[in-house]
Amino acid sequence: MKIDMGCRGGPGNVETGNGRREFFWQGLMLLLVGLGRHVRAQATEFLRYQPLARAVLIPIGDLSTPARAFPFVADGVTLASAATPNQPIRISGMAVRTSGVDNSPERFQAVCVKCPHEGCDVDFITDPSRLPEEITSQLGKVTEPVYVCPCHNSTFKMDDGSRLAGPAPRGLYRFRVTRVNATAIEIGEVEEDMLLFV
Amino acid sequence: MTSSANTRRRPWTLFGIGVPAVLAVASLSAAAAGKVLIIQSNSAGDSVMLIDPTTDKVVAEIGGIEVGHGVAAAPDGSRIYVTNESLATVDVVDVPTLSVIKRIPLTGPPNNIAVRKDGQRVYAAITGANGGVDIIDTAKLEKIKFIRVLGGVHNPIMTPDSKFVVAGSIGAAQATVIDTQLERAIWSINFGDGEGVRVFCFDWNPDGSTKRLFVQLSNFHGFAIVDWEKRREVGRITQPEIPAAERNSEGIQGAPAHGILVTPDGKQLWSTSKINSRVYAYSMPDLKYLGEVKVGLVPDWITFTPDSKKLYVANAHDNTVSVIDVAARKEITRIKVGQIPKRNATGIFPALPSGTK
Repeated sequence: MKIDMGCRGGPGNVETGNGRREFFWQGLMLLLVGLGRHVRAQATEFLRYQPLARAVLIPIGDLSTPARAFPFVADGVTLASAATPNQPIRISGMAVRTSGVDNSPERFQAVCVKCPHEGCDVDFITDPSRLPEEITSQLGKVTEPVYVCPCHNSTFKMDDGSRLAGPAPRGLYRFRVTRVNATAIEIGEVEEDMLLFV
Repeated sequence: MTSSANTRRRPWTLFGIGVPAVLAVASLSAAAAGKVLIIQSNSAGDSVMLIDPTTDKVVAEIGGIEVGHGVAAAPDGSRIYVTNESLATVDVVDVPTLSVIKRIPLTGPPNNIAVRKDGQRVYAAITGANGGVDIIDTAKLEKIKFIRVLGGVHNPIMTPDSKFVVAGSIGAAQATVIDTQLERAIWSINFGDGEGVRVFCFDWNPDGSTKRLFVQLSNFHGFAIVDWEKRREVGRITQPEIPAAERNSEGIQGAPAHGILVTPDGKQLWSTSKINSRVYAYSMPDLKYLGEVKVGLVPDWITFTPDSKKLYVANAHDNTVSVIDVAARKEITRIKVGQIPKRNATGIFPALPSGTK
């Protein structure tokens, strides 16, 4: 494409007009693609995270088997805008390798065990055949381990702690796995709301 | 099941035998000396309602209590205590004016509440893994002690003689017995894996001491029987089945039976079924099945009038209270109340509060 900036004066010739139009449309396309990616990123991960007071390190060997939960306790500090601001807080959690054999951070998930409904500690049910009929009648046959709150049978997915059934208003609060190396996974952040509404 | 923490029983003196019996009789005869009202919480609403059992109508409403859970009346009828889940407080209601006069901050999010028979102590269940029982001094109107209970507490319920308050934990599947004078836990009984302790009640010996517990457990449609002296489970009663097409599946929340109580005269035990939308009656002490009454959706708690003639069943998903004629085993009427009625209790008051309809 030849771009003539019209140095000889008068309106630019046809080739220049085409060039600007093309530039415009290319720019617009780029903008739309970028926006689309941003929106998609927001949709899949719009949770805000805050750093823990101290990162939790879990030996990689303890998470070598998929669908086996490893309990841990993390230290955080409530946010300045929380009802009891800037207070140290201990958050009980469970980490689990959700799938696969490689050690990329996406293979691991960690959630807070406190049920968002009334604060009871959820159980990790490895064997779905143990689930009470009340849960299976709502969800149908459950083939994977799930988190279940013993107080009111709220049920949450192992993969991401999202709510499957029951009176809990949302899924389990999540931690973020910030790093994985040859020896350990590092859980360095927790969902902001956990430090705000607790 | 195991029991824990051996403890020496204090010797029964003549005074110790006589006082509980006197108290039991006094509580029945007090009905003649005051006005009986049924106190009904509305757990998704912002008020507590008072029902007159002579007319079966809501005669008064206590406002300003959002997400009220447990309700209990002071034995002298001067106050009503309500656990307020939205603020994590015990709200103290002055009965003559039906106004909240104090909100007592609690250790954590509360569930149910109990009052000792002498009125000097109130016990608030604190739920969650770090929960337990908050003890409130009713003269000072402040929390004076927190007793940590494994798994947190759902319901604290007084024994008939008020010597103990039993704290039921869902998370730990355990009932912990707290001595109300020593103000500490002295023994506990564990149930099976996943058998959280939901609601329970007692029957009593002729001297007023506790004889048995009847315990509704997570995911069990019936109740367990615990011998108090032996401190162990001695049997279970499974409630009747109905055709699957008639069963309710909403609002069960792990507790197919939630609401159990022995009549004040000790002659019958009634237990709810959320699955079947019914209450079931059993004769005492033999627990022979007597019959059923169909009630509203998700019957969640029950209370009797002091004369044992009427039963009030909170239907959590109907927003109603069923009134049952105990002798006839028949629903007399259904009273419209607030949103998601759950806990209820019976109070005896010196006079009707002001503003009562």
